[in-house]
Amino acid sequence: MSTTLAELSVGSRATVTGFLEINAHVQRIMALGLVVDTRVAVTRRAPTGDPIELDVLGDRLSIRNENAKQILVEAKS
Amino acid sequence: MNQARPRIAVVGNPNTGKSTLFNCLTGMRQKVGNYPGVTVEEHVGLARLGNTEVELVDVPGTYSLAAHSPDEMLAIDLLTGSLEGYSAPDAVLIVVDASNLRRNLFFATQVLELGLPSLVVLNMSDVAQSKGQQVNVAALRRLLQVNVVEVSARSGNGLAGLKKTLAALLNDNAQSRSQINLLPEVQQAAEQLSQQPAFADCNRISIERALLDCDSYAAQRIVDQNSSAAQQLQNAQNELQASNQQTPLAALEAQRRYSWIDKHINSLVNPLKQQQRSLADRLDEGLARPLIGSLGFIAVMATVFQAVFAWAVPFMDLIDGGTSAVGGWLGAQLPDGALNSLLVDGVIAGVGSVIIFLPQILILFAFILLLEDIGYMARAAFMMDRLMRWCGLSGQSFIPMLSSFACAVPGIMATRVIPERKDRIATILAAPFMTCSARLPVYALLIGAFVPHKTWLGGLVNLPGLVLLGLYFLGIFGGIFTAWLFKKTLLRGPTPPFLLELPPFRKPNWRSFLINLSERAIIFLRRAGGVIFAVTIIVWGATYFPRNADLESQRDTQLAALAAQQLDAIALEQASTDIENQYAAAHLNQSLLGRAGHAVEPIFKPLGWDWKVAAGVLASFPAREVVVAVLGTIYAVGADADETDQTLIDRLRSATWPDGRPVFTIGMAIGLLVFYAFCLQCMATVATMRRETGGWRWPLIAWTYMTALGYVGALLCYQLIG
Repeated sequence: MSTTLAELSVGSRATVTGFLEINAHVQRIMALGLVVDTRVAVTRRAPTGDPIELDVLGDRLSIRNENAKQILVEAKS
Repeated sequence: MNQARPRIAVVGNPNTGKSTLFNCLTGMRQKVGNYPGVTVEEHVGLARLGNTEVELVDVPGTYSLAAHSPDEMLAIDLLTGSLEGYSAPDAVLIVVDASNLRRNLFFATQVLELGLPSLVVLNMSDVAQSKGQQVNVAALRRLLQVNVVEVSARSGNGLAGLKKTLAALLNDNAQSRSQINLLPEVQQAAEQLSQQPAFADCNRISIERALLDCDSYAAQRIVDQNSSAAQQLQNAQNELQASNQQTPLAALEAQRRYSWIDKHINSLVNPLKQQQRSLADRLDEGLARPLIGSLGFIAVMATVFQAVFAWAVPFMDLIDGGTSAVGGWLGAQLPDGALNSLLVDGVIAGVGSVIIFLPQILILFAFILLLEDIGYMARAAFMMDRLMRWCGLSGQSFIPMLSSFACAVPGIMATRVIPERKDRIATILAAPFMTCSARLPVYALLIGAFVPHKTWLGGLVNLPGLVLLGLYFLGIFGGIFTAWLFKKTLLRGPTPPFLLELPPFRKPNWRSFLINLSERAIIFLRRAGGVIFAVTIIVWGATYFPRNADLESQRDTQLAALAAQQLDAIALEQASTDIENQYAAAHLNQSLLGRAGHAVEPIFKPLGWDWKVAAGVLASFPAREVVVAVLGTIYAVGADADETDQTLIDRLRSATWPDGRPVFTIGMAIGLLVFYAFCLQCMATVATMRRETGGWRWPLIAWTYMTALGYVGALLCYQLIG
């Protein structure tokens, strides 16, 4: 199922398929290893629901929902 | 430092233990400064390798060489030797976190492509092992084509071997340059451009970054020097994109590097038998739940504040007693006169007023460093991000705000972790609103004098305590409002990205912790101490001069007349102290500070302040805590009055205007508290703001804004409450 990273719930897994646009923010995120074809899992959300923490092939990193919305993923059931 | 020594740059991702390694290699032999033109702290230190001495430069941790701002450009400039006064390094230590190898290799390949003699330092293998991974050092060496040394910076294992390998590399660096080149066509294009006249004085590396990065700072700098470079850069980018299915070059770089890394990562990391989940992991999982996480956060913050305000008291009393004893002793040794007064009332009282805050600052910083070291601060920033965003800031502003409860100076210095300049300045503007320890003596004096001591619930809740709590909230609210206001106006801009790593919980390195803590203490004492010290002497001068011979002889006549009376020792002592205090008050009335108080009285009259209060407030602009001592002098109790002095409290309560109305009405006292809550009465903070924002613009704005806010607040309180 194709969606954005922001819409995944805690515990779900997905594969990155693309980015809505390439800008400086996205360049920073890509440098951390979130590139096309990377597998990613959502591991936690802050008590307020935002930001989210991701597991990117064993690395933990957290980004905000607004940036997660720019990342297109194929969710795994 | 001496240029003849070999220079070694230490680079790596944040949280790789890079600074710990740097501290372990250099010990206390380091210098902390600022790089010109940017807000990045410079750490340079000396290390001994056998019998050669080398200079180590701690390059700020970064995930990528991509540069979107002057601060991010610094790493490239240091590595290419483009910064004035900094030659290119003779060798580069690339610190790599074994437990996050994939992501660390991205930056490592970027640095290896610079072609400098390099050595990869593989750190945190123990953490990797606890995650069930073992990095194959020999395979990593073959892949990167440079030497790899495994160390544990936390325990110090492997440091001797690292020093030996580094010394050997400096003697013979033939084998230490990697041939890795993952973007050959970009490198070639940059090489060609560097031959063009429009790119004179530009090195190949910065041209590469200019081609690759979105919103590239490197490109902006090149174009600023020669505008005709813009078109040539654009043409080269178009050509490169055309031959790569129109992929934007920033995406091309990330995909090339990560597909190369992903191709090799499985041969580099041997999976171990899955380890038992550690206690730290289970704790972390618990704290990841919203409710437990929030309660844990509140418990941690409550402990920190309890420690700062309760544990510090005995040490503060000790320092207070010590300075009084030294002052009393020295005062008795020296003859009366200007020198005695300068040393006792100026120098010793001035130094004492600074170091009294050291225990609170050290305790708060010990907690902050420790929580940062074990990995909790990243989680606090993660949790606070949404709340901080209501006022336009991010989770990273949380730590500086927390530090500011001890003192805004280290709080403002802690804003360096905030990558976005506008956010950093908004945080710097909000930080001085937090109730710092220097506000406490003023609050304690005024609350003690004017808030009735009502208690409820059997003494658990009392009115003075509630007023103090209210003042804390007033400060927090003022800071939030300020950040929001400036982010909506002068500091308007897009919300910056938020990228944060949540490292696993880990044990702290005590040696590195102590080095960092003493560094903070020295910075505080040197910077804040210097300013407060100088200013206390100026205030002393303004209260001491001009001398008035008539007043002095009047006092001497009274004392002589007193001595002629046959009084017992206690009554004599009492009467002569009264004469001395009356003399001091009369002298102050005509001193420079007293005259200044009279001169500004009309400005502050709408707030209900007479010249005495106005003089005290004026004297506390350099350092707010001075006001207690100044009011003590003005109300003729003696300068050694403190905030619990009952005589001073009584004098304040009974102070009247010439027509007999009391000066300290409830509205005036609350207004005065509000004034001290909002006003930027701290030279050290102003000086730190200037240093951290690189000019006088922001400190002037902050000072004017906060003074205006304090004035209006006090005016409203007095006019509405009366």
